[in-house]
Amino acid sequence: MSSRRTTIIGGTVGVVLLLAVVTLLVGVNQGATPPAPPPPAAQVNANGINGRDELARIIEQAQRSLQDNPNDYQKWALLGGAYVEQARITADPSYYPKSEGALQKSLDLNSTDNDLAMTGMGQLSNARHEFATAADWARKALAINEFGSRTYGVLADALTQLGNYDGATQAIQKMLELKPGVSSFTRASYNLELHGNIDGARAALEQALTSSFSPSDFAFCRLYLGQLAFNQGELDEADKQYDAGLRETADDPNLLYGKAQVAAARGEVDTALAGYAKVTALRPLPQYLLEYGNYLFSLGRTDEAKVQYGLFETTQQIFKVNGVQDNLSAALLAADQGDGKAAVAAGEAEWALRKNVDAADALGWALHSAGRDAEALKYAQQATAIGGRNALFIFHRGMIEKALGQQQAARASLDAALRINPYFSPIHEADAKAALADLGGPL
Amino acid sequence: MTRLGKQALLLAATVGFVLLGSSPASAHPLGNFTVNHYDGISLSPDRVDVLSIVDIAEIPTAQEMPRIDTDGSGTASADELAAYAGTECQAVSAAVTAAVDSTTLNWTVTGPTASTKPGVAGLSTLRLTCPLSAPADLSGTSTVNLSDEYRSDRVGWHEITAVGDGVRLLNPPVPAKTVSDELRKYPNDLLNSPLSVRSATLQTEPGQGSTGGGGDLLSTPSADPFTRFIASADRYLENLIGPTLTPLVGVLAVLLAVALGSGHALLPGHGKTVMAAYLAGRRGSKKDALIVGATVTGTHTAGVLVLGLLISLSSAIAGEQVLRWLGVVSGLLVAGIGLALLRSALRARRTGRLMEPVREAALVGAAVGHVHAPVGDRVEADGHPRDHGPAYDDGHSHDDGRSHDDGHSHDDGHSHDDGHNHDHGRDGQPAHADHDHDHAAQVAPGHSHGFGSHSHGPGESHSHGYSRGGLIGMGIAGGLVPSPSALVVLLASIGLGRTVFGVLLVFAYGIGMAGTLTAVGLLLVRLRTRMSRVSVGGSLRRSAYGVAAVLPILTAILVLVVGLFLVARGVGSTV
Repeated sequence: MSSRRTTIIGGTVGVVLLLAVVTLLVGVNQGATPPAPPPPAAQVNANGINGRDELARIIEQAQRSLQDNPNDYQKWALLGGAYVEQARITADPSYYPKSEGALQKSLDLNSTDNDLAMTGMGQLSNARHEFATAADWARKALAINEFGSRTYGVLADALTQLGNYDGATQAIQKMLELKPGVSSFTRASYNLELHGNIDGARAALEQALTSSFSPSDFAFCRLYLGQLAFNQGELDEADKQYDAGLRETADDPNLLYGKAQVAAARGEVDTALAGYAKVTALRPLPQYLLEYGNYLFSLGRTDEAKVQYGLFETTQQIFKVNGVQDNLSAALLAADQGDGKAAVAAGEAEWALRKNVDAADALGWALHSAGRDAEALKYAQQATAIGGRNALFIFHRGMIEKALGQQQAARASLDAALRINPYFSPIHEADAKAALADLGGPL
Repeated sequence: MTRLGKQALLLAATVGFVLLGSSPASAHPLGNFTVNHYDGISLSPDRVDVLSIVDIAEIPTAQEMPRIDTDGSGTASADELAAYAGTECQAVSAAVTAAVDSTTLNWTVTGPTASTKPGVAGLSTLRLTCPLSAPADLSGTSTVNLSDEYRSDRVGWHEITAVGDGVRLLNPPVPAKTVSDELRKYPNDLLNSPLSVRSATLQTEPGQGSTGGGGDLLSTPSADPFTRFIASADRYLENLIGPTLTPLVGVLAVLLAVALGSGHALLPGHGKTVMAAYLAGRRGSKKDALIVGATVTGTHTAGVLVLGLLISLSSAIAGEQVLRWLGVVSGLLVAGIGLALLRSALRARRTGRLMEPVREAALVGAAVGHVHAPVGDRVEADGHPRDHGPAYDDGHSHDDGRSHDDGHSHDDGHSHDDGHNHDHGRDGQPAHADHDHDHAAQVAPGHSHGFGSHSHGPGESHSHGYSRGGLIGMGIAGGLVPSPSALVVLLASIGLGRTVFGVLLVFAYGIGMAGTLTAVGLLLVRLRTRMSRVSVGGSLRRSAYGVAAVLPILTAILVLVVGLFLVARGVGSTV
């Protein structure tokens, strides 16, 4: 009797405790599931891209934790950084003011040794194109904590944009030592690509891929791999990478944009047009609108192109109203359309802000369109000086050299541009070929 | 245009910001390229109405313009807007799908309107209003499903509300009131992400109003003064552990934690009442009361520490969810004990040993009359051999697996990088990692008697009151659900880098809880002892036997019911 009862009791207790453990495990693993009614104050998580994405969960968790304990400066800093990241992934700009608010709150609570919030501020400044400010924040944070790998990432981004490539390389090297991972490998890859080391760039991305574990990480690496391939004219490889990325995050506009570029390069007009239309509907960002317009223009559909150029102008208007300088695309568009004066103004404005290869190239091309080729060449050389295999930059340089009568140099440049990526631009591809033929054809 | 390529990608979000920026007040608050949705559902017994509103920011409005401005005048005239509203609301009505039970609704659009509003930089924003209506039968109990797929791939705010008129909403997942004033004013709370509610499932029955509902603002239970006092003391404690911590404040905080713990033990919930009844009714000794108290302290302290550690280590854990599930587990434990009690009570009744089972009588039984001599105080433990490890724990030490190194952040975002949180978390770990809990399975076998009665020979005057297993089970049930305020205090301490102090506070909390419970238990033991000394007349004594025979069963049923109630409440709140 007694032993039977013992068994029953033992069984009951055992089952109950087993349930307890299982329940805890389930609770722990599923986090916010099963679908609960929206937590009263936290409302619902946002942004479809990946509902169950790690980042969204981090944000929710931090929001919840801060509702209970609003004095946790580290959580505020964490949240502020996560908002910037979320804005980047979802392209939802309403996260930026939130990010600034959260980071400011963190700094209000601790302004002395709060490297986490300072790094977040740097990240936010980079996103706002305030690169010098970003570098300052990063340096401040590093003075407090010299082992912050994220901080080196922020510094590297800022220095890259400012054209301080040696400083950027050092920062990335430091980051790689401190924390090899997706963040450092992708930055290393971009750095290597800028210096023309395509194989190294690809290897770094492969490494980034193997250290990815969230869908958005995978997609991000695929996007870069695709872009890298496309920039070298490898259409099939690029397409493959974009497809692999889209399997991770369907409808990611960056990947769809890449697919549209590939389709355009292959001459698949309908696919390309549908792709651009979709991308610009999803994210009417200036660079997409401009590319769409250029493609329509290259097809001779000038009226439709003008609509997209008009929308591009609309985004530029909003830039101006918001007091933000971003004249890179504007300089190129004006130069392409032969408005030398506007192009030079925009190019110079951009060059004043940052002296990187992109700004140098834009200003060089702008000066060329204004007929100031001697000055233009200086900038074009600077844009290609660090060894990047950027077909567009090299094409611009070749055209400037040709205008200056430097036949051999021009021929070599144009030949190189078309060898690197014959599909580098829908509007300039034909020009490049014609100019090269004019100079005696490929070397 | 590959030059735009990588650089543009690196800074893709940038442009997003730029478009919104630190914009003047006239700019669209949610970014100049958002498309925002609102669906206000209104249920009547004979139909479903949805006010579907789309607020389109500057750039998508500019993209729409060629479709609106059909005469190419450069501006949208009233006629053009009306025509556009008619066409576009058809698209909305096709994209907003709804069904009552399994019947899909066919919308009729009545009075669609579109209007432009000045936005930033001389641009316009567009507001499309589509009133949708469909006949439906909601006169009985029904389920209404609604999903809004209109341009659902655009970035923007997605909000749904629901009200009933002659239809009662049961526990609606969406609120009744719009927080954005139908997309006119977007809340910009630092701690809330943009709303993203794209579908809703509503349970309805005839009637008015709604019941429960997570969608509404926090429904504060009608707090009695004591509850309110405890709540304000909680907040006070949180503030105490703030930035400045002097020794005096530290001591104060610890004392306050003890006081709060004992206060919380008096608040309803946690099956504490059942435990007290059990303790008193089943002839518990002082020692038994102490055992329960110690188990509660142990379980509660360890539970809070483990949960706090997990929460601070892993972002995957939703505190409330775990608390709810722990509530369910606690309920199951109580119910299990009730079941065991019932079983032994029934068996005892069957075997007709009325004399013996009386020791199972509940509080009331004890008060009514005592047959057997041994009273609580004299009852002594029979040297129960084993210790019963509260096995609440184990099982959750898997947290580190998700080590957020920077894997997921290309661009930094989530910073689990520099490890502040983790490190603190680990400091806390030893505090409970060295508890080496025995396993559940080991609790029972050691005992020769379970929760229930003892089927020893008749008249054999047994001295120990009842099984330690039952006691400890009760203790675990009582301490398993961590007190949220203790958890908050711990997390706050960890956040401020005062992990050890936080652990101390949690321990003080547990002591306080245990103190109250033990005191209640001892009081009941004492009370019962007094009662049993009152001599009882013969006839009354006989009827007392009758009552006493049933009482164990009633007690057991009571315990079981309370356990099931706790389970139901826990499960109910998680669904």
